[in-house]
Amino acid sequence: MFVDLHTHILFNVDDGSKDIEQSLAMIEEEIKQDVHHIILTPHVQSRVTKVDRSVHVERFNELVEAVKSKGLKVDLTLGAEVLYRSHLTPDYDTLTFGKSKYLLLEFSTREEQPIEEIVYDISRMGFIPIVAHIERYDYLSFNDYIQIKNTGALIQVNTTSFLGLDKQVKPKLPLKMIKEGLVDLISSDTHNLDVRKPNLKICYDFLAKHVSEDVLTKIFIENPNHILRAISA
Amino acid sequence: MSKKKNIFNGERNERYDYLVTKEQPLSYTSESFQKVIINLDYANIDGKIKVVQFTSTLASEGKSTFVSNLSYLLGQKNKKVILLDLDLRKPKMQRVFNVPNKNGLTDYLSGKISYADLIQHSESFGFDFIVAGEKTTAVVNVLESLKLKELIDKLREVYDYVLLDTPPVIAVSDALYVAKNADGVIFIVSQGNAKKALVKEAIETLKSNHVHIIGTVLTQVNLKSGAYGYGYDYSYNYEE
Repeated sequence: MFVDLHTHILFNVDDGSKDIEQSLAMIEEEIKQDVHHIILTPHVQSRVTKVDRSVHVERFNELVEAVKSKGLKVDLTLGAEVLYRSHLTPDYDTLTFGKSKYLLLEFSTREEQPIEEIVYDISRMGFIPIVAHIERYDYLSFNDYIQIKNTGALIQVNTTSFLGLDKQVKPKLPLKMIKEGLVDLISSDTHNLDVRKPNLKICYDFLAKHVSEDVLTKIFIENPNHILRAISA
Repeated sequence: MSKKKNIFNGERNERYDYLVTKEQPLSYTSESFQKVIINLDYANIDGKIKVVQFTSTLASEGKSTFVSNLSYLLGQKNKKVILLDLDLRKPKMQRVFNVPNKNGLTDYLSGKISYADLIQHSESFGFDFIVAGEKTTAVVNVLESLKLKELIDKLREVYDYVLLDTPPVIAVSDALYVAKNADGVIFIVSQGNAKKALVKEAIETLKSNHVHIIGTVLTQVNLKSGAYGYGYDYSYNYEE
């Protein structure tokens, strides 16, 4: 049983799910992928952000009701994927995974950002930053990944990067990262039901051919469960 | 963040919040720091030196490490010390104290926070400090500002020592602007790091700007190359 920690399943808030029907279909697909807990992480401060935080909360409550009445066996938590902008200081407390201190952060892929410094400041403010799809920032070196992790961030890699579905990512990089012990979390970053669909189990099965079971258990089970415990605490 | 080693872009893997003078007070390194303080006392017999600036030739010569250890030892001698991070481009002081780079100097100078919010105190190290604050592109304007001068003048009244950590001389001109507010400069040289010609150039630059160099400090000394055995040392020499 898996946890998908990075998804755009919340409807009509960004470039992810278009309406509540699509969201429900995506959740059903997640369940088929053995996922029992989904964190909804709509884009915040991004150019694809369509609505305010208050609307996220409304839509989230609506979706939770719909999931209940449909009898789907899955837990949902509202989080966010915050695009770091140096000139903006959002209220991070309202953007974490539920009431926990975990905060999913993404950065510009084009313009080099001092990610290690940003992660330092945010972690010393009392949050636990998760760097979203770190493999996409091609200005980072391998040593930068290590520094960022040592500073106190968790490293998240997308399933699509392992499966060769993300053209921005060098094909061998994610496997090298996982073998070096740099990957903390793997999530689908699902946006829809065709090119970026829920595929956590597909990725797990693929990785089982390349990586030891211990490593996969840590990334797919132990680390996410640690976060879930903080959410329900 | 490139892989290529760049003399302007030092990288460091050790922790900043480990002060050797606190954790290993009887070590050879701590002893060397004590000598620095004694030398500073002699250079300052008349007590005219209060605002001391620290700079070096290049990045990663050990400025932040040196100045934070020195602050700690001065604090232990019941001196009232405040440490300011004036390296607004690559601030490091927040790492020594393990706090976020928030409510810092640039925030104060731009009027976002009050004087009371600006001054932070480290319980574990026993002295006050000011972090750099939000990044700005107008670094020179900040360092030249009258408000900074007024702040330092105010600190001068309250503290025994006001220590200023500043960027290296060769990379940017920031240290020269800061020097106008300081009573003197301690110049830090890391053994085997900067080339001799660059060190000379840096010191010449300071002198030609009429900066009073109190002394130089040699850091990251490898005692293997000398006759005294093993270790990691700081030594101190008078410049003039």
